[in-house]
Amino acid sequence: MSVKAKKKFDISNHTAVLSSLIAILGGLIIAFLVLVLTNPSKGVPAFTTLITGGFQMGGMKNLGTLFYFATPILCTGVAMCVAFQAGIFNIGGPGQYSVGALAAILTSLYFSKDLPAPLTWVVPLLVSILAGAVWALIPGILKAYFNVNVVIGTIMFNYIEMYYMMHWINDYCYDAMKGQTRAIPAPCKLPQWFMPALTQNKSADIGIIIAIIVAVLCWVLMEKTELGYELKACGKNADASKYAGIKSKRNIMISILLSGALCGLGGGLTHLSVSGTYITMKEALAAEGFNGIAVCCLANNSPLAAIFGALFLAFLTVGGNYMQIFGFQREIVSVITSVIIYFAAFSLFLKQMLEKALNRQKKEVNKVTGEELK
Amino acid sequence: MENTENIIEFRHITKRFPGIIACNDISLDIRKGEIHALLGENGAGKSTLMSVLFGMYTPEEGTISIRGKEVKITNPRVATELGIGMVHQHFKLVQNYTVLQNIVLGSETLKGPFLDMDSCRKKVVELSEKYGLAVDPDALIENITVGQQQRCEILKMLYREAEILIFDEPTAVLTPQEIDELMEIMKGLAKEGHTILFISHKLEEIKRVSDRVTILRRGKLVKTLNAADTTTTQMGELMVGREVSFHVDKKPAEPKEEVLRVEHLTMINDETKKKVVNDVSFSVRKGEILAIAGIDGNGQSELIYGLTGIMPIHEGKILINGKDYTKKSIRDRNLVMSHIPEDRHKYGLILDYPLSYNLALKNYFKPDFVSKTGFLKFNKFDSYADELIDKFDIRSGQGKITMARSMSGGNQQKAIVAREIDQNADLLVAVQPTRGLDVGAIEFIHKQLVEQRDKDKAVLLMSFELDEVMDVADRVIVMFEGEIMGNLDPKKVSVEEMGLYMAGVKREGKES
Repeated sequence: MSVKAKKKFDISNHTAVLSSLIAILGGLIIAFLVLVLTNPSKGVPAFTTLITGGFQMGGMKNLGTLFYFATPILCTGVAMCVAFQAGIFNIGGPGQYSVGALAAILTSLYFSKDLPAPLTWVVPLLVSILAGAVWALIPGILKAYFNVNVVIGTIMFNYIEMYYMMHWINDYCYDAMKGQTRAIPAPCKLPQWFMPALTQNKSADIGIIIAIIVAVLCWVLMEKTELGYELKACGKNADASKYAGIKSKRNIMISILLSGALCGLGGGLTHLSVSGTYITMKEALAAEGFNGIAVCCLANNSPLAAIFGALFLAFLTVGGNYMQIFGFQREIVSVITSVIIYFAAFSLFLKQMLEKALNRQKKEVNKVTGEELK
Repeated sequence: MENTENIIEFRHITKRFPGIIACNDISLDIRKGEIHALLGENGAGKSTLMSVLFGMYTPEEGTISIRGKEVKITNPRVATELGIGMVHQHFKLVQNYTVLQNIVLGSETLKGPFLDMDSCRKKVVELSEKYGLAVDPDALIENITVGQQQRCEILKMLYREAEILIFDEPTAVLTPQEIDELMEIMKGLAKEGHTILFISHKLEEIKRVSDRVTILRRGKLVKTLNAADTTTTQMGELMVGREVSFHVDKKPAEPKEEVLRVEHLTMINDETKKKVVNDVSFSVRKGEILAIAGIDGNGQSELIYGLTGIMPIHEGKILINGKDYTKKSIRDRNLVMSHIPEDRHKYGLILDYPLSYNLALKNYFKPDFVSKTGFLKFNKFDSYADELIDKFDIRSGQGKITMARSMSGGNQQKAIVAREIDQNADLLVAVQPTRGLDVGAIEFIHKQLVEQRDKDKAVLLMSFELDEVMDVADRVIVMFEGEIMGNLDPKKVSVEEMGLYMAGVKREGKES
């Protein structure tokens, strides 16, 4: 026992973290091989750039860029964590995200730009949250009251959103010269506070701070509150939850609306950002929505771990963009990040293997020291 | 009968789980053609030892020899090839497949690239007739009763022509008649040269059917005896390590005012549109235990589902303490009614929640457990769990933080019983509360039920075990095909007569 008492850090309590790290490492190795095979001479420097996140080239300014990329996928990632833990496979992230984005654009263009100071950006943000939730409402109702598969319900709504949004953009906020949505009025952009100083990036804003706060709040909600207890119970065993008197319909609605709202927030934060971004008229689902699933996978469904998952994926994106300097196509960059995400999905599998191996090892130790398990 | 050729030899088998040694240096010989019973309390290691034989677990130490040859059984497929078959305590069936599909799954007969279901069906029907295992081959598993599911499991094993047959508590869900039949089947199989390993808690059965019995306690082999040379009392003592009483000591009931009143309850099966519960009326009073007896599949389960709100009822009324609960939510019912559910994995527990969370499943929303702002009071969760673990002797690897999934069946059930009894509700509905439990635990749960009665609770006990019904209940209603056949006093009715009511042969005037 004395050996155990001294050793405070027991690795078997951290298999979740460890398995994610191993998954990432495995992904990086394959990514490296892909790079070297594509272009043997430039593979090594390109890979170095990828894993240093381009910081050696772009300097600290990239921290701002990193935060910019992390913000939306953190929001959608947390959205997936909340839904998945409740047993709801919300695949409607792209739709809910884009609806949130459009809501923020329209609100700021037509309504909030003349409001008193903080309301200029607070109101569009709230509307984007609301819009994301509304977009999840119908798949939610279909699931809760008509038992329609939520994966199908939400995926269909992604496409409805994609086409319907073109109509809205075309009619209300289209900048025909640039072929994209009109720019957000300056007063409606997110405040910057100390962020530019911190990141040495002129266009850094508080988006990432809001996203991190929301992630922490969601973690508290899931782990510490009555509602979280109920949501997780429904996700783990719907029959036993019913038996315990938990209202499953209500909980399905809460989890999917919350998930939609978080995706909407992601859209709002990104489009109200100081760096600015636009929606173009093309038939494509927002990648931020799907990347949320990757973040969630990497984070093992924990909203808290999603913070690190989102920052990591954003880190790769920043580094990946610099790889173009070495003549790699954008698509190769996407392949590399995809490989790593793909590996991340194995983290659960790795976790189980790791636990098995550690158990075996422990037993060996016990045998040697003659210590018997109770 | 005297056959000393060993078909299986276990040598120094040790299997550990986190916090527990399930099998500790077990060496045991099984003779060819014998019925060998394994007896022990929950967590004594019987199921684990059998799982090792069936290749579900790999032991850390020790060897197994089959027919004189040392073998490494790394997975069930290897076991099947060695002619070992197993009927598990928790059935391994595909819920939305038919009985036939489940039986042939994994060893289908092919005609070219196509399934030859006709010849499969023929073989299955032959087997089911030969062994009296009546079950509709085309029924979906999800629509048949637990008893029928078990018959399907047994057929599955016979279909694979296994020579060594492992039965993990096969009689837990059967009626007395069905048990008799099963015993005959087992004896018949043994006569044909099959070797049967039979896990059971029921001493009577072991005495009746087995040639030898091995008793395990806390992972260790206590003794192997000839069943003919031992008594049930002796086996019971060896198993528990102390004297046990098989009879439930209780004073005569003193029923007081009515708590539950069920009036003209009718329930309809969604698929078959049949009335599975047909115009049933009865009542339970404070200070009495009313048992619902009957053969599995005669509407008892549905009656309980309707009563507890899990399934909607078609017609009728449910009154608790004089108030109409027919349309009330499950949460509302839970406040006046505790419910030990029939299926502990499906309804009773959230297997991937720790024990402390499971123990709070009916309480987490009460002011003691959650603040006004909605934050859970984990101190209370912990102290409450410790209290129940202590009071009800719930054993697990890591105490209150143990995941329910990793606990033994008996201790899972104890956790549910602890939670429900501690609700202190006026009405306690106990459905098969001792299913698959050992003598010690059964004794404990029966005592708890009687104690609740003596505390002026109304207790409704639904059980397929006639002994339990006769021992524990003050009054018995027998159900057959969804109707009440009789309202009986167990002290005045013999087991045989009860059997006639259960089989639908006898019926008395309906009474509320």
